[in-house]
Amino acid sequence: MMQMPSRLPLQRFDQPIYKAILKDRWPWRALILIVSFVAAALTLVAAGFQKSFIDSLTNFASTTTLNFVASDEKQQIIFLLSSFLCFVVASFFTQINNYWGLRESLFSQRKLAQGLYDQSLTLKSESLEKKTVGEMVALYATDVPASTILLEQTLPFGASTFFPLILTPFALNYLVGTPLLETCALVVVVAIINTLLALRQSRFFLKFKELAAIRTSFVNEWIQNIRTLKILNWLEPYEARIFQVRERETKNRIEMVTNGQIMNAITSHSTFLFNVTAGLSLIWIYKRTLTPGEIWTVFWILGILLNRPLRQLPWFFTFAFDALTSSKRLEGFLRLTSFNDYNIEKKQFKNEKHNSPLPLLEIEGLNWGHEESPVLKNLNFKIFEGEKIAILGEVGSGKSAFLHCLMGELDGRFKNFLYKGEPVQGEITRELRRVLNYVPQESFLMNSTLRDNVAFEYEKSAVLDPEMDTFLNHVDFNPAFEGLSDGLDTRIGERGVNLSGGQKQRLSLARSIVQERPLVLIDDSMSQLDAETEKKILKELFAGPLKNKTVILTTHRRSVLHFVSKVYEMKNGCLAEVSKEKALEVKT
Amino acid sequence: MSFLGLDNEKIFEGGFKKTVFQTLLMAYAPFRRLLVVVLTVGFIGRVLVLANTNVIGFWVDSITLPEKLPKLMRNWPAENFVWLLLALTVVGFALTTYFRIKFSRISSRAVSSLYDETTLRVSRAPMSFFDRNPVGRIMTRFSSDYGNIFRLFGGPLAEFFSIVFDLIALVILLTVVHSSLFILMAIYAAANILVYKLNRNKLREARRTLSSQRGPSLAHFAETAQGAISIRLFEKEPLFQARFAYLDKMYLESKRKTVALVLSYVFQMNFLSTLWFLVVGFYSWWGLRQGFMSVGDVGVSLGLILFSFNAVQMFFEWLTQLEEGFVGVERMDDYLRRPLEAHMKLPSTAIYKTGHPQDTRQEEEKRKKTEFSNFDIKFQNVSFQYSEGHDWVFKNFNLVIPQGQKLGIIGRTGSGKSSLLQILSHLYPLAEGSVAIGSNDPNLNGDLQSLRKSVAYLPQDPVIFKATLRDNLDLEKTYTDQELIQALLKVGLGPWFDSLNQDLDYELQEKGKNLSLGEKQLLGLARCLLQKAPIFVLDEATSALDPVTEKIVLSVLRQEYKGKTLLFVAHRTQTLGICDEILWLEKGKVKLKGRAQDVLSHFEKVNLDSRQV
Repeated sequence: MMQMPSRLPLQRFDQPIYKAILKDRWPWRALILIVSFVAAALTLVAAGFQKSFIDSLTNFASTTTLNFVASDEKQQIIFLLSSFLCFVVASFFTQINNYWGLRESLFSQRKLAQGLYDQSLTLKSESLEKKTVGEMVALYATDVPASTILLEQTLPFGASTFFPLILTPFALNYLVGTPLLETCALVVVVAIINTLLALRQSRFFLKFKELAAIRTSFVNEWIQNIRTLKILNWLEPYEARIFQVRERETKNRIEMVTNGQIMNAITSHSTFLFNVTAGLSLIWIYKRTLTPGEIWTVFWILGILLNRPLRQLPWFFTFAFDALTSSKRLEGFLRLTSFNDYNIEKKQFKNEKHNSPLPLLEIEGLNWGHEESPVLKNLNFKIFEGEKIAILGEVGSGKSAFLHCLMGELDGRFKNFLYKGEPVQGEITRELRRVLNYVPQESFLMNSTLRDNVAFEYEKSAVLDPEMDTFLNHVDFNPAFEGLSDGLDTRIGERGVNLSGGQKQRLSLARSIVQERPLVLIDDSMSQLDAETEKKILKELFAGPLKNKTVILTTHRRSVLHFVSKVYEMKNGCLAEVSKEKALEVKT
Repeated sequence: MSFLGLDNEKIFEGGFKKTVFQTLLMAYAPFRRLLVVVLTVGFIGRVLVLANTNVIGFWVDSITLPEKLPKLMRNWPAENFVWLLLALTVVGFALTTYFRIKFSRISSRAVSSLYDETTLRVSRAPMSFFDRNPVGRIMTRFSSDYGNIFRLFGGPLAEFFSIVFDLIALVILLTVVHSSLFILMAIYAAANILVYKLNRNKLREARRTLSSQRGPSLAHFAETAQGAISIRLFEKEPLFQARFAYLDKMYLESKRKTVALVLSYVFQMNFLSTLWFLVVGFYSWWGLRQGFMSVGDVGVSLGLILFSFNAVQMFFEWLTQLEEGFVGVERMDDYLRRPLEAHMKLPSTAIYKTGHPQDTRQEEEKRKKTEFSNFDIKFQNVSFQYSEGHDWVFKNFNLVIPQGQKLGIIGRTGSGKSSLLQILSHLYPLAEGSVAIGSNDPNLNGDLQSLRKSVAYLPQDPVIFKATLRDNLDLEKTYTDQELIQALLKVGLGPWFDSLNQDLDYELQEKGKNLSLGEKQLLGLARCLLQKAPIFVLDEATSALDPVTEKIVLSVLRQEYKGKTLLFVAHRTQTLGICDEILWLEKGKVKLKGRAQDVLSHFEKVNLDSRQV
């Protein structure tokens, strides 16, 4: 199925997205234009043959240059057949071109999706503050395809719209002798009206997308919390909330279709108006007596062949505007600061074996938070190798923030940050991050098998199953006892929908231990376990896999304190050591 | 909670079910009369516009064969024909525009009702439905499926109808030229339908595959966004990148196939149209030579057949596109017609008749006024399993919780604590027995919704909506600002509320991201206080709290829940001091029930013993 890759390069976009979309593989994309041109020209040549066919039927001498009246039936049939062939080839080219546009569009979509995915993988928590998961998914679900519509629709359709429009005045001038300038002017006027309506349409479209995004995020909340909503009998008020946005969406939609339909009505009828105008101007202004062939040619070209290009014209603009706004949104997201931006300054730690008196980590003057309400204030901290410490503190006191600063997820400002006596300069380097092990507060599960979730890999082979079982044992997780009948092969649903909070936390813990890293950060990750199980697990871990590791554990359960060597309390943005005995006393 | 496997995504096959069309009829039902008028106007408009071709035929004949013309036109100068063309175009334009606007507005309204009705039913679906379907899967019905319906049943459907009008008008206008052309057009239509049928199933399947391929890559994207911190810390990016690349590729590949099929189909149609251009061209050329057609007629037939190029192509293009809309309707219809959870009724506002039980207005009014006088909880002979074939969670379980009791519930994971709460709210159907609050037993003509209303519930991680503080406290909008603030003060959120400048319209983020766990918990507590329910269930609600916050919670409970029932599910036995009695569950049975201290000391002893084994 899937191949194990070596490290994939991250997809980066340094120029505006729409430029990247158009410039990438540009010779292929230029080919789309050329083929479109040929198709448009062929359609008009076909109309030319038709005119000759009609003229040859009536023996009317046309005043235009294409004026070789057929002398026999054979010639008439040749005109008809040539017209047919031109149409067939033109339509073949058009469809091939549409397909090619799609190929190119999918190519760019894949690239953009990867860029977006890579960005969401590497984006610092700090930059993400106000982005919901739903919003990020919407970027992928809506904006990626919308921005590549440039290739899928705008380029091929645009070409098949504009080339006929541009070529028509010339073709008519050549075949019937209509004045070039006036026809051009007429085409330009219609194009302008369309552009204005299309602009208006794209505004509705933008609003429509915003509203749809809000509604989707409500729907997401609704399904995720359905259990509670049912228990609280809050279904109706929550539905009202969804319906309210849905109604706003519908109202906007109604305005949008009204505008769109006016636009469509104008474009689908303007061909007939063109035809009438051309007829009147030839008769009145140029005092021409038209031949049947000429009357038909004007009608065929203006009234019929231009029909489709003109109908496409407003959509061309709507899609183009839409693509541009989407690509702007993508750009905004892709420009947020991510870890990727720090990869450049890699730093190696020199002394791998350090002298034992040096602390493993030493921090002085760590500050973090908004200026008005800082969370961490001049925090000092150090820990030696092999130490196991606990950090207590009220909710919101900054325990998690502290750990996130160590990992570089939050941009803490350090006066001094030493790892094994070496300054960790500026941003946390990859080297330090490689030493860290982290068990998050909110466990995250992959939509895959239990085995994959423990191994933290997709489609992990069953070869190492005994090892997996050992790790699960460490966290008191026996699949059979937990009701997971397929053992390690059990499929854990999307985001672990089918596991209880405690089960998720234990899995998350097991997964981290598998990673064998020396400095372990446990961010209140056992809150949903009962106290007995928690004790059992900690005992097991500290005697086994975590025995020689350095551990920082945040918690508010004092029962845990028995297992650690030191206890700190997070208060007023600072860490202060408290004696274990004292800390345990507070309990009663 | 017991583990339930996921269902596979429903696969739709073959033709659309009858219910799909019934659903659409229900959606359009309120606009029936207006629709008839609108469609008629639209049709007349298009006939007028297309008659341009025939007028041009007359014009040409006035040059070559004036005697063939109707008397009135015989001596017309050229500009008269042009004026007639102008008149037809302008009137036709006006009528068509009316039709297009009116029709697409009606359609937008109609499909919106489909959305609302589906929401009402999914809300009330059995819990097992949500256990067995991942969030992403349910979401797609409300996002991309509805999106497709919404998109296609607005403008495109109006466009589609105006193309249908064109096709009918074309046939009529051609028959006016010469009746034999009708036969040619009939053959042409049959050939087109054949080509459509040859392609339809392939296209339909491709679209359905495309719909179902969307979910996995979206879900994976969402998953990654949530676990990004862990993924990057452990440098698992390549794995996840590869996974995403694979899922995204599957989706894009399926998209490519679908569009390739569409385009190949369009080309087949184009070829057929062009071929028919040739056939009609030859036929009218022959007709001219045989003398039953004029040069004008030849022109009209070629002109109209050229028109049909576009019309036929767009007809089938839109038809295949509309299939996407129909696929959407099919998928929503599937949810619209699934059974509701037992004893649940649709609100009186639901308008579709889908055979589900529905409340009347009076019943709803009555429910609002329900007073809870007797609220003893009775579990009688309860046998319960999450689904057939799974282990029994309870077998012949009996328990009475008299009103006003403060009951602690303990037991190891899997002992049935959470399940007890789930069946108290009738979230899952019982295999046997009954669960009633007071005299209200949904199984015996009781009312499920007032039963649920009588229980306030505080889980470990309370739900915080992305909404204002006000909405989060009081979604039903029944309380005054003063009452809301009172509740915040009671639970000790006063200082926090001050830090928001006492703004009840402060926007809370999704899942309460801008709140600490303790704040969320206290907010949840405030919400429960406002609910004024006689029974309050705390489901491990204090296990993640620091001691200070926990103290606040406990003291609030003592003050506010005098005389009310309190069910306190906890892991940490030390927080159960507030309880009169403790129930110790083990494997779905009452292991021990009695005074708090007795049960707890026994519990701790047994648990410590078992550790040592």
